Amino acid sequence: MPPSPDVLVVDDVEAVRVSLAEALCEAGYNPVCVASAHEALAELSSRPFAVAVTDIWMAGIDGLKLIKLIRESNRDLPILAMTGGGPRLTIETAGALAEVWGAERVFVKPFDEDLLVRAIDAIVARPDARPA
Amino acid sequence: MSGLVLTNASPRIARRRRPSRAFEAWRIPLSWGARLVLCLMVLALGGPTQATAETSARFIGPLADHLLDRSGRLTITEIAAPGARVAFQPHDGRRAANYGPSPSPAAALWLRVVAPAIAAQAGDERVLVLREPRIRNVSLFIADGSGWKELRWTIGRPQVGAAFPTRYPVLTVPTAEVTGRTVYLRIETPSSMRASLWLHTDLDFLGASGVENLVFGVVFGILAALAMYLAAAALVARDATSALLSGLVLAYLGYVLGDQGFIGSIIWPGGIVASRIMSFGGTFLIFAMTLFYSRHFLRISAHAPRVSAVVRGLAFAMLGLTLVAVASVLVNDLTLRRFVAPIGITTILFCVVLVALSWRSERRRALVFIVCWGPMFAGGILRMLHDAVPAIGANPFAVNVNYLATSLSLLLSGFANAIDLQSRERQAYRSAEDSALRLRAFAESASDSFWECDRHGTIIFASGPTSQAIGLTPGRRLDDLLAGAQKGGEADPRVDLAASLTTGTEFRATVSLPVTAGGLDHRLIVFRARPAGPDGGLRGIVSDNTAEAAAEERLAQQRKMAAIGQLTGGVAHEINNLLHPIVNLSRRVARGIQAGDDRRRLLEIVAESGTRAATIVAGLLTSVRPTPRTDSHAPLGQALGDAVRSLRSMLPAKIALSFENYGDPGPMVDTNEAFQVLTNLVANAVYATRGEGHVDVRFKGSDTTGYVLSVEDNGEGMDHETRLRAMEPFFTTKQPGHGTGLGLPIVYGIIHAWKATIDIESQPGVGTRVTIAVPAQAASRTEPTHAAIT
Repeated sequence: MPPSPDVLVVDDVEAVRVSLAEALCEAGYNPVCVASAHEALAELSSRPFAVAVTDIWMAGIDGLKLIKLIRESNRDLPILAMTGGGPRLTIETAGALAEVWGAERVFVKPFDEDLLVRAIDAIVARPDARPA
Repeated sequence: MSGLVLTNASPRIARRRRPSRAFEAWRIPLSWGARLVLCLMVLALGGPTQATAETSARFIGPLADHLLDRSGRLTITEIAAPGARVAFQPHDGRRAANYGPSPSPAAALWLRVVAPAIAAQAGDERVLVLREPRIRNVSLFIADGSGWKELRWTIGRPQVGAAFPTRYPVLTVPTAEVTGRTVYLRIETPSSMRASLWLHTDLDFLGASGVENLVFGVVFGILAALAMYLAAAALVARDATSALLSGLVLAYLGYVLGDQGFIGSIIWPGGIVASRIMSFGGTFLIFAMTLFYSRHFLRISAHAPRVSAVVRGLAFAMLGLTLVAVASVLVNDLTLRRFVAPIGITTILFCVVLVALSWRSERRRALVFIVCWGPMFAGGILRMLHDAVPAIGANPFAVNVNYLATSLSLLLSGFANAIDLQSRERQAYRSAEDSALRLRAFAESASDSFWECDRHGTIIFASGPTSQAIGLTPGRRLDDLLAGAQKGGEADPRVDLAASLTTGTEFRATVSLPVTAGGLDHRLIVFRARPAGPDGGLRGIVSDNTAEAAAEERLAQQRKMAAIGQLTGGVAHEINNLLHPIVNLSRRVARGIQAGDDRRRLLEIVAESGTRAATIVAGLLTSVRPTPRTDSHAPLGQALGDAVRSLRSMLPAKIALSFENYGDPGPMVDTNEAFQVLTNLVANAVYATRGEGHVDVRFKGSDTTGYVLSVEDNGEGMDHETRLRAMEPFFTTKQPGHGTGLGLPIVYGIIHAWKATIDIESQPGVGTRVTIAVPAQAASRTEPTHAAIT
C-alpha cells in the first residue's frame, strides 16, 4: 500500500480544520493542518506535499498572498482555495484572483467536502502528480 | 433756357410774353419741385429781365430813384421842391432800392419814379403795387396842377370801395394821371425798406393776386396737414423728432401767415399787431425749433453731448428772444429787427456745424438733413442777405423763393420723418420678431418647457416638448392637470398653486403625472414659476425630471447595495466558516450511525438546518455575487423563452403569463442566471396579483440600441416607500414564512454583473413594471466558475 499523500490544510478556523482533517483522513490522505500562512510556509519548506488547500480570507498573511508566496518557490504544487466570503473582496473577486495566482479551483464555504476529496483524488491521479 | 422751360410748362404764359418770367414762375401752378428748379435756374442766370415795353404788369422798382428819410419828417413839398436839400439816389435801372430794416420807427423811404408812358383809354386804371406785406403806410403823391394829390394806403384798412384790406399796398390810379409822369411814394415800414414796386393793369392785378393767394392757400393747406400728421405721428409713436418737426412747421406756418399779411388782411382784417407778432416772433420761434429739431434729428446728444448742450441752450435763448420779439412788437421798438439777419445766419451756421459733427457717426441722417434742409437754408441765407447786404437788391423773385424753398424743405423733412418712423417701426418690429424667434428657438431646443397662466390658473401660453407631453395646453386649467398627479407624501400641489395665485408668490411643485390616465408610465414633472405681472397669473418653466430622478434613484440604490454587499460579505464569511463544519461534521458523524437510529436522524436535522442556513447566506451573497455559473450559456432572448416555458408549468391556472420577444437574440448569458432573474420577477408579480391576473414579459432591443426586459403585472402595486426599499435584502411585504426578501436583491446582483440597470414603476391598485435595461456595449462576462453548494 502506497503511503498516504500529504495534504496541507490552511485555515484560521479550528472547526473547519477539524472537519477537513476528518474528511481527508477518511479518504486516505494525510492532512497536515495549520492555522496561518506562516505555519504553512514553514511546513512547505520542511517537506513536500501532494496538494495544498488554503482559505483565502485569513488574518495576517491572507490566502491570496500565501498562494503567491508558494508560487515563487514552488511552481508545481497543486493548490485548492476555499472561501466563505469577506468584507473587502467579493467572493467572485477573491476567487478570480486565487485562480489567477494559480489555485486550481475555488470552493465556496460551506461546500460538500466530498467534492474537495474528489478534486484532490483527481489531482493525485494525474500522471504528472508528484509523489508525496 | 428758363423761357424754354416755361414755354413747355405753360403755353398760356408763353403766349402772353411776360417780361418778368421769374415772377411768373412764382405764380403758375407748377409742381413744387419743378418750380423750385426753375427759380434757382433763373436766379443763377442773373435775375429777372426789366420791364421795357407796354405790358399788363411791370416791375418798376429798378426805375425808382430813392431816398431814406431817417427822421420821417420830410414832406412832399420839401422833397419835390426844385433845389431841395435832400437828394434822391438815382436809379440804375437794374436793381431796386433796398435799405434793409427800418433804422427808426419814424423813418420813411421815398421813391421817385417816372411812370412809363402808356397809351391810356378813358376810364383806364393802373394799379401801383408794393409787394411788401410789412409796409404800414404808403402815400402816393401825384402832381396835381398847383399842389399834390395824395393817395393813402394804410395796413389793415380796406381801400375806398373795397370790402377787404389788401396784404400789401395797392393803389389804384387813373392811367391818365400817371402815364409818363413823375410820382412820389412815401413808405413807412419797420421791415425791409425795399422798392418792390409794380405797375399792373387793374385786370391783371386781380388775376395775379388771385393766383398768389391761391398758391399761398395751397401751401398753407399742405403745411397745416403736414403739421397735423407730424403731431399725430408724434403722439402715436411717442416720437420727439416728429413733435419738434411739427412744431417747426406750425411756427413757419404762423410766420408766413403773419409775414405775408394774411393775418391783418384776408384772415383777420385789422389784426395788424397779431400779424406783426406772428411774423417777428415767429422768426425767432423758427430759429429755436430749427435748432431743437436739428439737434434731435442728427442725434447730437449721443455723439457730442457738450455741443448738444450748447445748441439746446441756444435754442432756449431763441425761445426767449421770441418773447422779446413779441414784446418789442407791442412797444413798437425796432432794435431787435437789426439783429434778425445775424441771428438767423448764426442759427444756420450752427446747423451746418451739427451736420458736420454728425457726418461721421450718423452719415445717413446727415445726408438726409442736407437734402431736406438745403433748400430752406439756401433760401433763408438769400432772404437775410437781402437785408444784410442791400446791394444784392430787392429782387422780388428772390424774396418769394424763400417761402417756396422753406415749404419744400418742410415737406421733404416730413417725408423723411415718415420714412424714418416707418423704418424705425419696421426695425423695432423686426427686432421684436427676432427676439421672439430667438426665444422660441431657445424654448424649442431646451428640454424645459415654458408656460404661463392667468390669475385663475388657466394656461394661456405653453411651448416646448414637456408641456405637450403632459397636456399642458392653452385653455386648460393647471389645477385639473395637477389633480391627476400621483398622491405622494408631500403637500397637495393644488393648494400651493392656489396660494401662489392669490398671494403672487413663487410656485414650485414636483409631481408624478401619468402619461396615460390609469397607466403605469409616469413622468416626474417639476413646475417652477414666478408671478407674471400686475394682472396676476404665473409664468415659468416645467421640466421633465423622470430620467434624472431615475438615474439618481439608481445611483442611490447602487450605493446602498454596495454598502449592504460589504456588510453581507463580512457576515457571510463568518457564518460560512461556522456552517462548514456544522454541515460536514454532522453528516460525517451521522453516516457512522446506523440507519434508524434516532441520533442519526437528529444529526441529519442539524446538517439539513446548516444547509438551509447556507442557502440563505448564499442568497444574501448573490445580491452581491451572482449565482455560481453553470456551463450552460445562451442568448438572453432564448434563455428567457426557455425560462418562461419552465415557469408556465409551475404557475397557478389563473395567471396569464405572456411572453413577447421582439428583440434580436441578445447578449450571451448564463441560462441559470437568466432563469433566476425571470423566476424572481415573475414570482413577485404572481404574488402581487394574489394568484389571479396577468403577467406580461417583454423582451426587445438590438445590439446597437441595447436590450430591455420588462415584467409587468396588474397586481396590487407598491407605494413610493416600498418601491424604494424593494432591492434591500430581507425587505419583504410578504407574510412571515412566505418570502425571504432576497428575490429582488438576487436579481439585482445578477443584472449588476450584466452591467444592466433595473427600474421599478409601480402604482398602487394599478400594477408594477420592472424594467431591466442591458446597455448596448455590455461585454459578455468571463467570470470564473465556482463550485456550487449542494
